[in-house]
Amino acid sequence: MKLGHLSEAQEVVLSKIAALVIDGSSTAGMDDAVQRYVTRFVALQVENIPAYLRLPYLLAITGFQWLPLLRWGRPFTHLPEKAQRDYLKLWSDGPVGVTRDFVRLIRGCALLAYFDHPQTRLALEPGRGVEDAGRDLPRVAVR
Amino acid sequence: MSASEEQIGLAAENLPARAQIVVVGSGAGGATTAATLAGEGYDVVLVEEGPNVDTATIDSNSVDAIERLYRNGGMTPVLGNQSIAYVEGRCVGGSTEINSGFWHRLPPDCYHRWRTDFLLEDFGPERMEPYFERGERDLSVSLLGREREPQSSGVFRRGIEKLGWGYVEVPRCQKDPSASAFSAGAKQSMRQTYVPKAIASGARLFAGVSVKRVLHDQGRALGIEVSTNGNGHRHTIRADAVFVCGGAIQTPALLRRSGVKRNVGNNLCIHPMIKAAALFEEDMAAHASPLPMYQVKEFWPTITIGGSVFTPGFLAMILSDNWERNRAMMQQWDRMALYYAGTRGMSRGSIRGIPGDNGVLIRYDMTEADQRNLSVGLARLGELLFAAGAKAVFPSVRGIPVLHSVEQCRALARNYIPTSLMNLSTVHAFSSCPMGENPDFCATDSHGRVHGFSNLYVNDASLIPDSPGVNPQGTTMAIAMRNSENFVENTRRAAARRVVHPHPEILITGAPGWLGTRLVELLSSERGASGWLGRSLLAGKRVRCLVHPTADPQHIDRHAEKVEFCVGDVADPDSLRQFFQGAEGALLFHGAGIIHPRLWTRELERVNVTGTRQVLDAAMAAGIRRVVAVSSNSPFGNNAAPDEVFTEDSPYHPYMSYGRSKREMERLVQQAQASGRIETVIIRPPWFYGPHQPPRQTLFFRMIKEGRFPILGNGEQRRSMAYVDNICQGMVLAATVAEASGRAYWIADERPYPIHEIVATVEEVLEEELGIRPPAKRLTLPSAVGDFATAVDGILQFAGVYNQKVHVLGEMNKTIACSIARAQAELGYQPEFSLREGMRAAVRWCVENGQQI
Repeated sequence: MKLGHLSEAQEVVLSKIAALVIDGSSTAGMDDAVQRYVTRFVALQVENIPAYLRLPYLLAITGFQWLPLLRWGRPFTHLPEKAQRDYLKLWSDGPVGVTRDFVRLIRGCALLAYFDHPQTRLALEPGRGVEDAGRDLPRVAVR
Repeated sequence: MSASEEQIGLAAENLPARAQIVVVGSGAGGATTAATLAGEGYDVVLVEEGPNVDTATIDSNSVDAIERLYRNGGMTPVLGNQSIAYVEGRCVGGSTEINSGFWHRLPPDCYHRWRTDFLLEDFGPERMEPYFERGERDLSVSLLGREREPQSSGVFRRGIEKLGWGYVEVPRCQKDPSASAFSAGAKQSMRQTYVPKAIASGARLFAGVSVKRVLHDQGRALGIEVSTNGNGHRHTIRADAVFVCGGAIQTPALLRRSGVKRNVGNNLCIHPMIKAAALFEEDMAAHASPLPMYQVKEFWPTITIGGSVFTPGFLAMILSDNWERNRAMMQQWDRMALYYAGTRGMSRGSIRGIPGDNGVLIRYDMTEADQRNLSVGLARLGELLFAAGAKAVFPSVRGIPVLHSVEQCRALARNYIPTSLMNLSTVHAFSSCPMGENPDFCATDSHGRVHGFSNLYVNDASLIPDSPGVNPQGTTMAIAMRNSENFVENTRRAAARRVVHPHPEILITGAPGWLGTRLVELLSSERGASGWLGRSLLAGKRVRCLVHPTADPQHIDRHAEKVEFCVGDVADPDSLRQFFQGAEGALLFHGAGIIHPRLWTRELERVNVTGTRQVLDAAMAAGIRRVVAVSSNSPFGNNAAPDEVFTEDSPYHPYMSYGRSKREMERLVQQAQASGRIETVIIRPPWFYGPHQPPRQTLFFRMIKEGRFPILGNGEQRRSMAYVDNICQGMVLAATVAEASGRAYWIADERPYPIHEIVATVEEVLEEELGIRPPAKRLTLPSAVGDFATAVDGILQFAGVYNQKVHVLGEMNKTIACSIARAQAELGYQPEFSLREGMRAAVRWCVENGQQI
C-alpha cells in the first residue's frame, strides 16, 4: 500500500458504508457493476483529498473499521447488518462533528456517483413510471 | 472556435528552456493574458497543471468530469469555524470549463470603493468598458430570452414576480443560447475561445505541468521551476516576465511557496452559498433544461438568490444532509429543481502552502453577519419557492429536513441557523492578492505587477480587491486584458526610451519617485520660462532619467519629447554605465534613495550608500560636471530643544538606520568633491509634501480628516517641512550657482511649524477645498508614546527590521527644525510656497489624481 492511498481493506469499508447509505443494506441489492463504480468513485475522492487531511482520513477509516471490536468483538465489516446500520448512524448523527463529517463525505460521494451512474440515470429517465424506475432502483427510489 | 484535444497543446517533454513570457494557468485570467500577449507578438509559453481534456465532448457536471476536470475531485475544503466545499477546475481552461458560464459586468459601486480603499489607479467604468465589450463579443455572451425559458426557471420567475422582487436574467457565455447546459461545445469556455486564440498567435501550451516555484532574485523574476505530472522530472523555464494566473487559491500558494509573501494570501474573499431542493406539482424536467436563468436582485449585494444546476446526483447530495428522512423524495426527482442563496462573505480568509507538498491550507471563518445573511437568504428563497408553487422545500441544513410553509421559512430569518448545521459550498474565490497602491493591503500595483518586482505579475481573480457580489469571470477577464495591454504599452515605451540621445544635459536618478517626477515636470513645464527656473536656464534641456525596473514612469511619460528613460538600478554598475553614456559635462541630480524600506534595514545600505558610491564612481568616470545629491534631516537626528534649529554647521547625530545611511552618503559625496574630479552640492530637505506624493502621505491627510492623526504631548514640538516645489527650487539653484560647489544646504519652507499648526492648517485646507470638517476633537496621546515607539523602533532596527508606522510614530514627539539662512544667502533661495499654499496644492493634486483622502 502506497502512503496516502487506500488499502484493499479500507476500500471494502468504504464500499460497505456506501451500500448502507444508498441501499440501506450492505449485503444485497445493488448491481455489482454499479457498486464497483460507486466504490471506485468514493475511493478516488478520498484519495483526492489534500494530503494533510487525507492521512487523518485514512486513519479514521481504519478506526471506523476496528472500533466495533470494543463493543461487538468484531470489526465493522463482519457485523450483522443491523449492527452496521446502528454503528453507522452513531457516526453520522452523533454528537461529534468529526465523525459526522467523516460519514458526510462518503455519503455525498456515494449518492452522487450512484444517482449519476448511467444505469441509474436511465432508470430515472422521464417516460418511465416511478414503478418502472423502482424496479431498477429497488432499495433507493421506492422504499 | 472549437478545439479538439489533438489540435492544441504540446507534449510536456518539449518544454522549452526559455521564453519571453511565461503564463502560469490557463483559466479566465491566464488564457486571456496569453491570448493578448501572444496577439501582440510576444513569445508566450502557457503552462497548465491539469490535463488537456476536450471539454466540448463531455458533460461538465458528470462524475467523469468531476474526476478529470475538478481540483481534488471537487473536494477542496475551506477550513474555519465551519468547513466550506470549494470547487474549482484543474484542466486547460480552468474553472471556465466547469462553471455555469454566467457573465456579469463589475457592479458600479466597486469602482469607487476600490479606488478609495485600495488606492486602485487607472480604473473606472469608462476605462473598463472596452474590455467587457471585447469579452462579451469573443465569448458570445447572450440572453436566452423568456420565450425559451426552461420550466424550473419559469416557475422561479413567476414566484419572484408574485412577490414583486427585482430580478435579472443573467447573460451566459454560450454560442447557442437554447442549447442544453450540457450540450457539447455550447458553452464558450477558455478552451473553446482564448486558449485556441493564444495558440493561433503562436503561444505554446503545455498541460500536465505543475509549477513548483517562481525563480527570482533581487526583485526580478527569472523564470519558473516545473515538474511534469507524468514523470515528475524537474525543469526550469527562464523568462523575461512571469504572469501567475493560477486563480485565487493557487496563485497565492505558488507565490508564497516561492518566498513572495507581502500581502499575498491574506485577504481571501468568497461567496458562501447554501442550496435547497424544491418539490413542485408539475414536471420540472430540470435535468434536461438549460442552466437556470434568473437571479433575484432584491437583496443584492448582501444576498443573491438563483437557480442551480440539476442532476439526480446533485439532488441526492442536497437531500443527503437528512438522507434518512428525505431519501424517498428521490422517487419524485422529476418534479424537483435546485436553487441557492448566496452571500457576499464579510470575512477575510487566508491561504498558506503546506511544507513539503504543493498542498494548500485555506482558512475562512464565517462571521455572524454571514450566518445571518445565509439564514435570511434561505428564508427568502423558501418564501419565493412557495410563492412559485412549491409543495415543499428541502434545505441542505442538517436537522431541517423539510419546510412546508412560508411561516417556517420566515422563522429561519428570525432564529438564525447555526453555520455548523449548514452544508456550505462556494465556487467564487478572489482577492487573495489584491491590486492597488495601498501598501497595507495590496500585493500588486494597480496593474498586477507584484510590489517590489519588476517583471512578476499576477493576472487573475486574485487581483480583484474585494467581493464584487457577482460571478467574477467577466471582471477577471476584463482586468486581465487591461493589465496585459498595460504591460505591452510599458514594455514598448521602455524599449523605445532605451535609445538614448547622444548628449543629455541633465541626468536624474530616482526620477519616477516623488521628488524626481516633480523636478522633471517643472523642468519641462511652461513655467520654465520665468522666475527662478527661467533664470537657471535649465528648463527645456534634454533630460535623461534612470528608472528602476520596478518603477512605473507614467507621470513623467507625458513629457516624452524632452525626457528619455534608461532602465536600471543605482546598485547595478552596468546600467549606470549606460545611463551616463555620452553625458560628459552634464548636471546630475541624484535623488534615488530609500526612506522607508519594506522590511529589512539592509536595503537602506544597499541603495543609499552602495548605490550612491556607484553613481559617484560612474559619474566621475563619465565626466559629469556637478552632482546635486539629495540627503535628509536624519543624519542630524533631533533638535535638543523645541526652539533650536539645525544649521549647516550642526554636527552629525544620525537617527536610526536611515540617518546612518544618509550620513554615509554625505561622506561619499564630500570625498568625491575632495577628489577634484566632480563638483558636488548636498541638499537636505526635511519632511516634504506636494504633487506626486505617495499613498502614505495621503494617509496623513486622511488621518487628519478622520481625527485619527496622533498629536503627541502638547503639540508644540516643531517640524521643518518643505513643499516639493520649494525643494526643486533649491536643487536647481544648487546645480547652477557656481559658489555652491562643495557646500551643503538645508532646503525647507520659510520656517518650522509646531505640529498642532500643521494639523490645524491641513484641517482648514480640507474644509476650504473639499468642504470636509474634520472632527473637533483631535487624537492626543502622551509624549511617552513617542518615546516608547522610538525604543521599539530601535530594537527592531537593531535586529535589521524596519516598521514604517513605528518609526514615524517615534518621530512624532520630536523637534526636527532647520534654518534655511545659508541657502537664502548663498543660493538666493526664496521658498515660494507657504505651508497653507503647499497643503492646498497637495490636496488638489490628490483629488485630481484619484488619491482618495
